[in-house]
Amino acid sequence: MGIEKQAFVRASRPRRLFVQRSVRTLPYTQDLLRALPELEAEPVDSEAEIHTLLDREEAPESAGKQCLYLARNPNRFFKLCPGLVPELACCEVQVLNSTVGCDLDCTYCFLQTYLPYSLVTHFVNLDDMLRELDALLESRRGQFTRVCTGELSDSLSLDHLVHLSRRLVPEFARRKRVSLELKTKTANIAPLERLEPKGRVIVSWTVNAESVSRREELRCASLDGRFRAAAQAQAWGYRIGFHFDPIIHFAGWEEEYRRTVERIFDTVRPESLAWISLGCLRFDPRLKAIVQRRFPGSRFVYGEFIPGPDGKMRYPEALRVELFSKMKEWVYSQWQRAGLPLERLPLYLCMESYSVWEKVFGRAPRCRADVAEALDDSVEQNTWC
Amino acid sequence: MKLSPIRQVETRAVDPARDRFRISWGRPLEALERSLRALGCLQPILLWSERNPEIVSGFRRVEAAKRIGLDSLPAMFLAEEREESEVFTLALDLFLSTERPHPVEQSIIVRKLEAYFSRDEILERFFPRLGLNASAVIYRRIRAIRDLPERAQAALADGRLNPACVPSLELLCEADRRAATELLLTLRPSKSAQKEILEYLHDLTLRDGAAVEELLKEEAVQEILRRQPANLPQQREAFRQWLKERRFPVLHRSKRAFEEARREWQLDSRTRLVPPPFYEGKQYEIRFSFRDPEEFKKRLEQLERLGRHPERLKKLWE
Repeated sequence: MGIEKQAFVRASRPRRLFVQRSVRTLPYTQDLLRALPELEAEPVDSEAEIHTLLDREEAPESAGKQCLYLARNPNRFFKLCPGLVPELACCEVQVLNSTVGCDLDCTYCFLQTYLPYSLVTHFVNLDDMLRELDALLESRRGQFTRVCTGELSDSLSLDHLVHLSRRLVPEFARRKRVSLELKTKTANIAPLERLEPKGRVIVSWTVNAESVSRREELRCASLDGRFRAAAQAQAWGYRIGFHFDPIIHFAGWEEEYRRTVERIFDTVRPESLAWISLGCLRFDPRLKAIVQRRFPGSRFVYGEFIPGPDGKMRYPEALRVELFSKMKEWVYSQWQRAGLPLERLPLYLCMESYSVWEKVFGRAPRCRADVAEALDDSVEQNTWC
Repeated sequence: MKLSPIRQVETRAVDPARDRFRISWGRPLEALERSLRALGCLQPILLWSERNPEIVSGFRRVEAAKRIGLDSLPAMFLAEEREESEVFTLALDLFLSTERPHPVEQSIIVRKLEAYFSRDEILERFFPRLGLNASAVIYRRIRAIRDLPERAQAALADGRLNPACVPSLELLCEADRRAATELLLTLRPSKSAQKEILEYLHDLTLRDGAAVEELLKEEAVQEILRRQPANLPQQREAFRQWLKERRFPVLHRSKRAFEEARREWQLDSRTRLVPPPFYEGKQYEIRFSFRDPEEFKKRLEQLERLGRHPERLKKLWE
């Protein structure tokens, strides 16, 4: 492997491995145990046993992120994106939760309030997952179905160990009227090579202003690394997406965010972009105390926030409109520079109110289905076969 | 457990300043003094050991006895051959059998236990006895209470300061902790308001790079604090208002813009224009009250007149 490709291989490995007793003998579990020969698997009956151990840690969340727990998913694998409240427009994607927890360590990550101790759990009953996928697609026969992983984890950060993309990409590539989105902040794309996505798989990168990325997105690939990986994934036949999420307000934000927008268009062919989304910082009020404890140097929690209809803290509407409007202008300008018509630009706001949509774009989607339909079209129009 | 029979010891022979087994902190002695005067000491103090007596249990009784001039107290002695850690554990159990430790005492207990036990042992064996979750995060927080200013500790001990304020105080530097504590003790806000005030002050120190002391020296704050203490509720409210405006400038601008637009509408005092929560979105409400058909008609006419001035109406959405 040459130096260039080496950059797309992630070396990160868990430091402690727990296995639920009931899944220990599954062939996939055995594969994973072989992939981590340096770790002695510690058998447990449930997650609660691991929580008791983590409780004694000085920094339980940091310790939890370094643990990998292999378990059976007792719940459904697929869930409709939790847009949470009707006041917010949502993209209505089907979220596949095959891993819950993330070994990356973004200071603003909502998982810190969502998952106890940030433990990384990978579900190994993949046969159940594939059966559920069949049932889901059957129930949506005739409709386009967008699926994404990476809602409660990073889609690729552990892929060099769990090799989920090796199972999922061919599974989606052989089906019609579906798409799979793999969301990441890593450059860990080596496992995606030679999987032949046939236009049905979108690899998307969450990107940010350079200084936010450096200061707040710990253990992630640099912004440079993410853009290089995006260019490579595009060359391997994947469609590309970018998510500006969370957009954070700070002194000098305009210049840095404008530069990141430009880098998107310097990196990928605009016509292979599946979408660009914009989402302002939002967080559970409990996150502030966690950030103060875990990342005392982080400053984003001291911005001006108000509680939104979903109970999360957000910037006041006036500030969100300002942030989104500028971002929109920069994206529009790059898109038009590429000679593409604005009506084909797949730009959307993530979990935002209809009022903000209207103030930013001059019109709001009539309902959630409008947003979903626009994104379905964006993928479907460009699907190669 | 080997104990001597009860016998009288001279109060001058025991020194409460030798306090390695002491847990109680900041508890008033007046009631105890009264009961000692009326009935004498009903429960013997516990000392270790006979050769060089040190108080294990009964610090407050000895202090109260000295203050009211009682010459002697009933006492029992623990055998000398005991381990110091055992004696402290015993002192703790005796304390917990009659008292519920306040946050400062919890902190003292944790720090003293550290002389004999590892952190994990303390979490496992002693936190349940204190009614606390065996969590390292809680451990660190409780331990830090002893580093707070003396006045803050005293206020925590007697309940004037909300224990939930401790993490916020901890985030401040030494000088800011002192300034913030004095502010809270002056304004005496409710427990939930204490937490909010500390949180906003801390936010401002980091966002604006200003020390709490500097913020509190601003003329607007000084003007509020100079007001008559008799008007404490108004003083408190004025300060919270100032703090909120300072902490949430964008929201405050939206509020001011709304109030200006509302003035343009010239509504009577029985008609209220209600903005959306946090001025988010475009949906407003009009509420009015009326006592008879005449008043109802008047309110409607007022709104109808307003409808004839679209330029005034529009201001609300600009």
